[in-house]
Amino acid sequence: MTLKMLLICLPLAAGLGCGDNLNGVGKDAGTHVDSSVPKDGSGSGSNIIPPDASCFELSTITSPTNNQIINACSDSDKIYKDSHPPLLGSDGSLPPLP
Amino acid sequence: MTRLAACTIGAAALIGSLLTAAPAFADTLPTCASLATPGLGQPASELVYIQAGDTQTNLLKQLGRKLRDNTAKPITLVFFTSGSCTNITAMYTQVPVTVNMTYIPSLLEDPLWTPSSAPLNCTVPTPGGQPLDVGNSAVFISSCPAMTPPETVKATTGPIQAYVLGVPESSTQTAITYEEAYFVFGYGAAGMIDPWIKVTNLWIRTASKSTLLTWAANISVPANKFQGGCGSGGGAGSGCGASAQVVAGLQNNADPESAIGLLGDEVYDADRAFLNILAFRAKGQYAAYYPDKTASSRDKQNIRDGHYTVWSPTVWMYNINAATQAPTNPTAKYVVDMIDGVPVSPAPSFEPDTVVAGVGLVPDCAMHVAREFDGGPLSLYTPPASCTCTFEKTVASTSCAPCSVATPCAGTAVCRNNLCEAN
Repeated sequence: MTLKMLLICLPLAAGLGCGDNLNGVGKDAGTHVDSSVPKDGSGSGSNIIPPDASCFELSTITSPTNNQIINACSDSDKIYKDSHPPLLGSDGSLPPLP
Repeated sequence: MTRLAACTIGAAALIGSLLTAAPAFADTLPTCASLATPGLGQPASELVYIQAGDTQTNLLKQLGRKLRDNTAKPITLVFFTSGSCTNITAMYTQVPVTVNMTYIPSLLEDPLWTPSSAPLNCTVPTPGGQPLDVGNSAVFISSCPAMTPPETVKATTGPIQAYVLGVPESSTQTAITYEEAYFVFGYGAAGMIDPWIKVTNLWIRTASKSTLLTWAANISVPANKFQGGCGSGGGAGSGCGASAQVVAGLQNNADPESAIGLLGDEVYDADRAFLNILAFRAKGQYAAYYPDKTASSRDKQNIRDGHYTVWSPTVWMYNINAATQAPTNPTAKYVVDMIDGVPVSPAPSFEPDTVVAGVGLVPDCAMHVAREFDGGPLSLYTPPASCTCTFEKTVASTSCAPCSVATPCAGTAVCRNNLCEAN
């Protein structure tokens, strides 16, 4: 794989695993660990995903929301899991419990 | 080893064996009250009777040993473990303990005792039982059935307790999402979250336990709706009564890939040799995180900064005089203050925060986030006097700058324990 392909594929993979993308249906649940330190923190609303779906730089935000805190930039290991629960609603909603 | 040292150790071992063997030889247990005046060289000790969640067992064992050996103020912790909600009720309504309680022997009494050893048993008064001095909940009180707190009980906030999803060491699973956990524990096999589709292999706790209640609040599955059991799959009513049952169920599992169980993080920390945990991706989170920076570290970084969300502060309660607010048993307050990170007098012969950090709990002073209720949103938090650097140095290593009287910290940083803390 060339460096150029890596530069294209990595953000796409991160986007799939990171975002609130819960629309898929299936049972694939691939994971990968990422120890890198992405540094993009644009966006401010709790429902706004940064353009590259990486992380929020809390030092630039006055009163961060819960969403920004849990998605703050970090040097911790991150596991991106491509999860598609079969019973998840097409809009990403959870059905009531039985 | 010098002859004097060898003789000293030998004598201590002999006295210890006499002290601990005597009750066994007589085939009777000591009364808990008798632990205050053990004799045979062991100094008199003040007793504090505690009912705590079993997630706090490692803390009570370590602290119990150090306090019975605490030169400035010898204290014996006599404890009994039960579910957090049960413990709150016991403190609020003054329910005595009517079964045998446990304690930790001093170095003199049993030089060979280690934190992996079992506590020793003692008997409580009959009839009537033993009234409590201290009660503990490892979950927000608001997560338990509503009760009006009496004016005679003081509730304090203690170290942070995280909860994890454990799997057998041979499992290949590494992470679980909020949505997957909702379906696994809310639907069981019908949730179709491969490989956790065998309801008899979902190892859960009963509905009064902090471990289940905290997970319930974090994955939107009410406690009474939990699927799983203690190998039976009968739901929360048949969940495991003790963390050790979950550990054993996972450890000796015939189908490790489908096995998953609820545990306190510090329980897992003591059992890392034969269990793994799953990284957890909270609702709205982009990636899954472990409680620690990596699967193998012990720094609790993601609990402290908000990336790992399944945690609750421990609550420690003691009895007070409603009119004066003074503690009914000042020694009980001494112990609670010590656990909560409040300076105590006389100063103990050990560092309490080091004990707390050493058993996998996070002192409040090392936290950078807070919440108001279980599963509630996180907000940034600055403790009154940070101990982040000291905590990091205790559990791993720290990048904090060293300092001393001769070399003070730069800017507004504060020199504490020879490390530059942010405040």
